[in-house]
Amino acid sequence: MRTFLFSYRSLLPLLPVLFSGNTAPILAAATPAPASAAISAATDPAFFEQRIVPILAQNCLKCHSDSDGKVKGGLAMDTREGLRKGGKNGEVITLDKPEQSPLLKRIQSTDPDEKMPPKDTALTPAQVADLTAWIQAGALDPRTTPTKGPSLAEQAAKAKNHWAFQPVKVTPPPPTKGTWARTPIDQYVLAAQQKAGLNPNPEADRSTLIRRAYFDMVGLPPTPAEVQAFVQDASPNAWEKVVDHLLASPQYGERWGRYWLDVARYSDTKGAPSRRNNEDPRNVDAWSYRDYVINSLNEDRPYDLFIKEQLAADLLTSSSDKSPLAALGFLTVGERFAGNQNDILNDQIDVVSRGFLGLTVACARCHDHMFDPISQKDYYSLHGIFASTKNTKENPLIEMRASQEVFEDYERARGEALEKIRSQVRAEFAKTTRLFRKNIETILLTLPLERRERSVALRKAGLDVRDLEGLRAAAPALQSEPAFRPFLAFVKLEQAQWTNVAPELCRRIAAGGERFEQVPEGVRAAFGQAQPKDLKEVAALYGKLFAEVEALQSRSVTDDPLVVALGAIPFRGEDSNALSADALIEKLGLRASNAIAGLRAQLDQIDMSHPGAPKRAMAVEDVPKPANSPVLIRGEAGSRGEIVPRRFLEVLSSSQRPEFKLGSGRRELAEAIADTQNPLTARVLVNRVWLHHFGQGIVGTPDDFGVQAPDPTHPELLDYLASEFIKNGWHLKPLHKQILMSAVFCQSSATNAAYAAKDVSNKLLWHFNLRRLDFEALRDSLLYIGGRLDLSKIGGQPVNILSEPYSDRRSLYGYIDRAALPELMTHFDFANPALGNGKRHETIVPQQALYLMNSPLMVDVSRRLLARPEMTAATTDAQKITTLYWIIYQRAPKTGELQMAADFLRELRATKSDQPVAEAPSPSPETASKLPRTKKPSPEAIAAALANRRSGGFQLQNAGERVERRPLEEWEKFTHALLMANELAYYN
Amino acid sequence: MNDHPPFGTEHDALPLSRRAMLQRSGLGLGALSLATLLGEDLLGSQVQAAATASLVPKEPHFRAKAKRIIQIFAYGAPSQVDTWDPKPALAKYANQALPDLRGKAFPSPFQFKKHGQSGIEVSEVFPKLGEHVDEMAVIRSLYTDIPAHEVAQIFMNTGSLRLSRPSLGSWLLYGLGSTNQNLPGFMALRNGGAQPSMTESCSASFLPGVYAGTQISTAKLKPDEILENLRNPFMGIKDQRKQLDFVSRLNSQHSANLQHDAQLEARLQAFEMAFKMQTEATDAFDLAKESTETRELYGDTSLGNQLLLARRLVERGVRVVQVWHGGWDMHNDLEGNMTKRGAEVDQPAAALLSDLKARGMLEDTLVLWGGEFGRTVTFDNNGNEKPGRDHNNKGFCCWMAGGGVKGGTVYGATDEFGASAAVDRVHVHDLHATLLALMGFDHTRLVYNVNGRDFRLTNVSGNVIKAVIA
Repeated sequence: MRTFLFSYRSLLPLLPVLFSGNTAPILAAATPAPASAAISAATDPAFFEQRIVPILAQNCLKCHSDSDGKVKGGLAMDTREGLRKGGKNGEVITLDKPEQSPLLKRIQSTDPDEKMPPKDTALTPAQVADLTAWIQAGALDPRTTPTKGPSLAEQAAKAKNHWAFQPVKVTPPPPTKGTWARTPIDQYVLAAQQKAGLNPNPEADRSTLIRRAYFDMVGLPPTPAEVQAFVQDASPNAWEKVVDHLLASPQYGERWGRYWLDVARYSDTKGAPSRRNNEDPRNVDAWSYRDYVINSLNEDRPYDLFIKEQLAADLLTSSSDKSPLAALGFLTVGERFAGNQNDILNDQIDVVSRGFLGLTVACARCHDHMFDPISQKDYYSLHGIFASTKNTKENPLIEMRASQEVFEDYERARGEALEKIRSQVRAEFAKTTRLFRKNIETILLTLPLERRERSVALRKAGLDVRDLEGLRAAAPALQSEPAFRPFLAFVKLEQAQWTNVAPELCRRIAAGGERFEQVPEGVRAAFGQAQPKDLKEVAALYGKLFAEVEALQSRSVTDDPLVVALGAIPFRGEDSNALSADALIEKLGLRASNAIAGLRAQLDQIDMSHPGAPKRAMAVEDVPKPANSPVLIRGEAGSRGEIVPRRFLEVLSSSQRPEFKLGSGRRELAEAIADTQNPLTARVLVNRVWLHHFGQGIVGTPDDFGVQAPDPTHPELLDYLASEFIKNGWHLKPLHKQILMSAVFCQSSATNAAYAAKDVSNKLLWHFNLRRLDFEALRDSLLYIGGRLDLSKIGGQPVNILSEPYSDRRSLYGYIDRAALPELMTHFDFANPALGNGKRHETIVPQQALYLMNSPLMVDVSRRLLARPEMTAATTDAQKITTLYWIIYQRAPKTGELQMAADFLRELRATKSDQPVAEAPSPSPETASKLPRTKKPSPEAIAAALANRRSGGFQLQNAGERVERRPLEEWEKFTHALLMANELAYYN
Repeated sequence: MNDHPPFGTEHDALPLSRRAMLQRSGLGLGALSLATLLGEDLLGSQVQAAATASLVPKEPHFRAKAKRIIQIFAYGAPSQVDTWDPKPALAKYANQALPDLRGKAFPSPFQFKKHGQSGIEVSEVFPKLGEHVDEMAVIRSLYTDIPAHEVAQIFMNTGSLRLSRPSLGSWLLYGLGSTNQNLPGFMALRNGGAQPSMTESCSASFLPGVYAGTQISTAKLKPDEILENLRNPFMGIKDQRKQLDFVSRLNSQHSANLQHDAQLEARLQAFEMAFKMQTEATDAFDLAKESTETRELYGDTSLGNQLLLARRLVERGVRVVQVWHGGWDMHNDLEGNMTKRGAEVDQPAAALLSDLKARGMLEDTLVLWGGEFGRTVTFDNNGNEKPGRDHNNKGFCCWMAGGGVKGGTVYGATDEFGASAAVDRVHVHDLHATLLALMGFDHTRLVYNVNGRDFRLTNVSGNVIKAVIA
């Protein structure tokens, strides 16, 4: 070891090379070194730099770094001070007993609760020896600046090789054996199967195939006639005809639009309303965004344009067509987080980055991304873009939907609702004004007090602070009200000044001297005759003036100078008659009483449900002065760091990353995302499409293509699809068609044990997956089977799809309240709009079964189905059973099934019907009227909401009848049973 | 201890072993019967159920005493110095200004008395609960982030101020599953109208919906109002049985054509469970089935009935029962209101502890009482004749008893006047970490991966208070 000691310095230039691997540096290869020698070496500062720092950086700083804001157990190891100080359990290095140092114990511990670094990583014996030597030598720590962990640059270098950041690269489809493969898709899939010793299934039979195509593309079953036509169609392009028919169906946009709405965390409400503000939580125009999505799919809008419009429709064209503005709902239909701006921006960054790019940029809000090459600076580059964007003051009108007559009725209803608000505002203004005048002396005398003391003082004087709610907001304004300037001048007087200064002050006021020029004549005159001896007397002067105003006004005198001067106090400039509807609502913002809140909810109700309400876009616009955002250290609003330019993510940009200069930069951002060279955008989208066609993505995590994502099951296929997609002008329909025409899609769902042993999860797609209908498809199909699904129009205002009387519209038109997602939808795995969702959970729980067993909807569907003409035309039991099978399962019953059905019917007929248990009276007011989430709804608000229940209240209510509560007849029981069975809920 | 299988994430969705597949697709008991139902050819079936979450009972990270939890959520923020944190210094400085505090000292109008062998001092408003102090750990040094009710209530339940996160109950259900598949595993009882924060406080957020809390209004317990669609208004139960038998025959045929796919079998089982749920849930909620003595023990009051119901539910295997008990927001008339609220909870909660103990269930049932924050030790500044206390997030208290709790413990302390947690401070995240530990979980490892990040109840904080664990 002499060599070590002597050659140490001479080796220094080589050290970076020697230590480039983080384990077993060759110098330490001879460990365990004689302790004394190592200790001597460890007294050299270079030893610390070269041997200790790498250990800390690689193993410790991820969790123990003050500069990164992560100090687990209170221990920061990135600075000398932090390491010396130790953590919350005390010092980690004890120099009096070096070998007892907790740090050394922890790195050598085998107890999983104790050992450091945690999990599967461990220091090498050499590293342990180095740390031991270093501590024994006195733990010399020459650091003056914090040590950095592996830098983002290093991470980025590593992540650069991550497949998702590589350009899309097309590998020609591999040659395959046999005749199974029809399309390049099949070649990629088959080649992978053959490599694994698997073979795909043959084509499914035609009735299975058409059912699959219908549920897959439009979320509804085919009609018996459609099935029969396809089964009997001998033409070579029979399948293609079905595919083309479905692609042209308007129901396609409804089915596939819903998938995008999951990604866009679509909801009709803002979330819990701001607690300080009695606002109505509804976004009455959100549905215009929903309809934009549906229409975009039906029109096959190119995806790049779809992206650009959702981010920057307002900046794209100056065309007079305002309808694309609805696309901006992508940014605005998120939660409002009770008004917390940074949370709103975070939501926007999240929905944009995961939705379009499959990148979890929001993870970099408080620190650099843990895994992906996304820096905190990247996050705040995007933050600046959205912080420079705001919701437009009013949602611009983009389409008149109704006839002039209906529109006028809407205007009238809205006007009436507004007038109710106005008169309520007037009444509250008047009430407060009277209270104000009556108590002006107390109010003035308490004006100088601090807010809390003031409210106590007011209460002591018998004034209820709640009655003066409006006043509380008006108080600051009182300070600047010219009429009160004299009073405030007297407030400043010292005790001793009252005898000599006060009279002079009175004179100056009366004469309209300096600072009193704007004091109204009547007030000045009053001071001209007064000789106040203390502040109380000054206040009394005002008391008299306001009593006079009150008296004059009660006699309807309006032109008296005193009335003109003081009549509008304290609500100067807030004449409710003069304000526009929206200005009025905005003004009310912070001081809306519960009564007004109830009325305002009625107004929203009209906007959300009146057929004459025009379509309005929840648009955004750039702020007048777009600005860059500072990095918020640890994500805390109060800790502003370096200001970063608005620009695109580093990992997806060329080395010359331009700053965004056009306004907020949204348009430039959209262009960067929709760039054909962007390696993620097309891949992420084709993967989403693939996922919904097959029930599994090529990449298993549709919203995360980062380093943590599982590798694609078919990387070449993914790139092929992405490149074809761009080549086809970013159109989705050709992509669907490519997939539907493939043999992979058309193969049967049969499985076998031998293949399952090799690939149980069907990663290699050797069979079609059995698919369960999601909530929307299940409910829609039931209504469709019952002959009551309304397919006559696309889009429109939201409806209530859950409670009676039931809506006939498709489920995606259901009202979605993100703050109170109905339990039923939660049980059926509806995507929680708290976050964007590329893939829903799939659970099977008894509550789903309860819905199908017991909800009146099922009875309604059964009865309507039995009333369909096909059913009433059937005469024998066998005919009826057969027809039901065709309508519900799209196939004929087999002989055994006919027999089973007949047996069941006979059993029902043979026994007396069992009486149902009587229902509790419903709906209970408590469940029927969801009051706004105010602390204590006033009787008025409750009354308003209850009165409004007929037209929906806070739950929309459809027109129509409840399902009749009469016991089921045998055919109804039989039909209901068919509707509950698995065959309806699955396709294969 | 560290060999617990990782919990589900998006990333590990595929592939699955046959056993895992069965567990995920079956529902509890279903897993067993499925295994016997199906032959080896099951392996060949389609595994769409991969992402299927379930309530099948699961083992926690380590062996823990508590298997279930009843939380009495005293929302509205109960005062600490009038309940479990005596501060004689307040009387000494009555009506005087206190250092660094606004307003004047408001001594508690209530006497404190030592109870049990531990001699823990308890306010006279809880005479009966006082008899149980030797089973309790009282934490006197809690603090939280914000003194606004709704936000703090959500924080206390989910560990998150604004962003949607799963609640404590959902995390527990996710981690432990439920031993009764015929009832929801997490129920929140309220008396009448919902609190605004309740929905978020019961949310499963990004966890599968099966882990969400089910809210139940106990104001009028009509069977069909306990759970949605619990009763069929068109058909008697015997007819429904016949109908489901027929459905089952239909399903068997269908399933045979599709190689008995696991999820088809699971759905079939779900109908059987739903059928049983109809009777079981009604039965669980039927307090008339309790003896007169028991009903008297709890008292025929709203909270008495709710806590008795809570016991009936946990007895049936429900994992988490939360009872929302409000009225603690005492800005005015602290003396009168505290007397009233105290009396409301004292007898029933004491009865719950005695009853659980008598049934041998206290040792594995964790009982928790506490609110979302505390109150000022000075007068509320609202000028009311009968004084109250204002909001205070800097210091408050809670108690826990039963399942693995070290009884007779006082942990932490507020300052001399009771205004702020001062010694061994316990943040809400620490409380959550401790509750999870009592239920058998390392809070840093009870995680769920969403979009590449492992989320947990305690976010990036939380320290287990080992001193309250037996």
